[in-house]
Amino acid sequence: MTPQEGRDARTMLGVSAEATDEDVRKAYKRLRAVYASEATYGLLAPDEINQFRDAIDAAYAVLMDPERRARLRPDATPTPPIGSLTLPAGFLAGVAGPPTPTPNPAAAAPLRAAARDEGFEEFQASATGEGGGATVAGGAADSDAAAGADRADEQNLAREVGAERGTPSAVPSGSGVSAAAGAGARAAAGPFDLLGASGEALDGSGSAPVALAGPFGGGGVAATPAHATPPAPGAAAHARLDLELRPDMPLTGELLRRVREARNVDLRDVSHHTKVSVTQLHAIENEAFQALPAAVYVRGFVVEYARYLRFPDPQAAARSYLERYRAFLDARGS
Amino acid sequence: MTPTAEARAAAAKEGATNEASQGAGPHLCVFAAGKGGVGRTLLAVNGAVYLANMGYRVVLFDADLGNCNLHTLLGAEPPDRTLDDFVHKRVDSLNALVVPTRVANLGLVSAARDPIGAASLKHGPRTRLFTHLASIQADYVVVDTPVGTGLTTLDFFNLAHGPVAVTVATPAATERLWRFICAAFIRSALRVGPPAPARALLEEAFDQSVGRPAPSPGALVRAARALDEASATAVEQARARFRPALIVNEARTRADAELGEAIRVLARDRLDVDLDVLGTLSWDEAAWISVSRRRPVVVEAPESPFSQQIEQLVHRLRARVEAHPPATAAAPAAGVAGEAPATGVDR
Repeated sequence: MTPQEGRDARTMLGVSAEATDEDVRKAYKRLRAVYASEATYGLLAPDEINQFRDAIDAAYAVLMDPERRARLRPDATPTPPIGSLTLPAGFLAGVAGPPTPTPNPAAAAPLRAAARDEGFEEFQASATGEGGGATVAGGAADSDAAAGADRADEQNLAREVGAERGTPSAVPSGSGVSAAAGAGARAAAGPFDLLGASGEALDGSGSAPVALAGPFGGGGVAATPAHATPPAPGAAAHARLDLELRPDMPLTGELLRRVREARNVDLRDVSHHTKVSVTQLHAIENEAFQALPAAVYVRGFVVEYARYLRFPDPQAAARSYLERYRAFLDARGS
Repeated sequence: MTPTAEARAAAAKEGATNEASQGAGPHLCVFAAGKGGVGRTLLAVNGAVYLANMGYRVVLFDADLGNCNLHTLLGAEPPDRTLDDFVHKRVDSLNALVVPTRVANLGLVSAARDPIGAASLKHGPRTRLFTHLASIQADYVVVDTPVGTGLTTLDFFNLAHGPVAVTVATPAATERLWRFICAAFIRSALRVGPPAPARALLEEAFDQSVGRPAPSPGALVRAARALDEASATAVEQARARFRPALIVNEARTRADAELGEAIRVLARDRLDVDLDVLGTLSWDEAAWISVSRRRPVVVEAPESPFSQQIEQLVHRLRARVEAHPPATAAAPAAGVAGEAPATGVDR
């Protein structure tokens, strides 16, 4: 983000240079609501509204840029997790960002893949040791859960997944704590028991959890074994890795499936909650477009599915999916 | 609804202030709407009754010529003396038209008994009417204007210390509201007597807006910048001074309740207009029943949500009216483009 881009984006959203992420998020939501309301009637043509919507989406993406986030929250300040999603080792293939020092020497590097709850343009996996790291390393299942809940940032998915559902949202990694993590994981329950998946993976493969980096989606997901740093006094390390979902990254059936599997959720569970049949969910994941009903229904299905998986902005996610579905329909000439 | 001692004291002080400063007219509150049936008259009547109950001397002014019904909402018979007598110079003063109502402190100027078809005032009578408004013996004159973007309505609106546009949450009403706001601005910019190039620009904008959206105040400011500096200044100052208030009536849903804020944001971002949302009135059966009984809601059902919301709105409107005296109340200030908003007749 260049300074000028930042200024333009702030002007667009009507926020000051001092605005926090939360301010930006609120301003964005407000504007979206305004331009979706019937107050626009007689003032703006539908294409003007769409144009503006695209513009505020873009501005939001600029301001929620992880680089900016990093600048706003320098080094020592423990960065609250943006949300938590733990992926099993080997789930993603690729390269990780380098580990960065942590101010908390006791902390290991719990793996967190975090998703922004708005815009879905950013998907962040951070492996910071901050705050609760020591507690986590303590190893008790309940304290692990509590630490996860404590760290839940109000503006993140973790709040929604972790706090509301009462599931832990972080898993510690590294040789010193992985066993405890596994125990904690198995103690937790629920469809979003993110620990479960990685716990199994840890135990099964014996490898360290992965830290995510790079683009997420469309097969561009990158991951690497975490730097499993034993908690050693003075030798603090944490791997804070950003995994960004850019607006131009499409929501694919593959992505839905990966996230679902990462969350250890069965298609039948999804079907049960979304009231979309397993067959159709299957078709959505496989992008078997010919097996899907009219676009208007598919849109609803995808929104429901994405919402169930706690995608940050199910509507936006569905839009990109539907674009490809419509392209398919057009190509087929129907 | 009983006026508190405090309010009476305040009202008495207010009266004294007005009398002390000779020539200072009443506060002028104008209710207007781009679309009919949105509750503009209902708000004017109940707001006026509430102010009267507070102890202010209030005159309810029915400017809805050819379509007047204020007396009906007040449960009164059409008075003998009406605005028509003033327009045709059978009376010299608007004070002669004020008839008492059943509500203490509340007088009525009716437009009843006007000839059918008298929908709008011609330029001469209109100017004379506006000149005489300031001489009405009252603390507040609450005006109910004709629906739409007629010149009488727009000029009353721009004359007001508290111009209030009323809408409901329907697409048809918001569509008319935007049109009304743009038209009112053009008219207000013309009122200050802008330099010739700006005047030509504004008049053209006004004439070309038949059946299509009027150019926004922001667009007019930008267009004026291309003319000359004096024109740009005049239109920009008119824009800065143009501060309508908005009431959303008959809100039934949460989305309805949020409409006012959405309109405010859109007015700011799209029209460059600072619009104050005075409040939202929720749909209330009591209001509807009172209207059919020809009784003011605030009298008939003082505990109803509608009455309580009216109470809040009146207090906000009062604060606004007293904080924002009009540019001029008496006569259009031709040629004084740089005039400050406070240099009016008020206090």
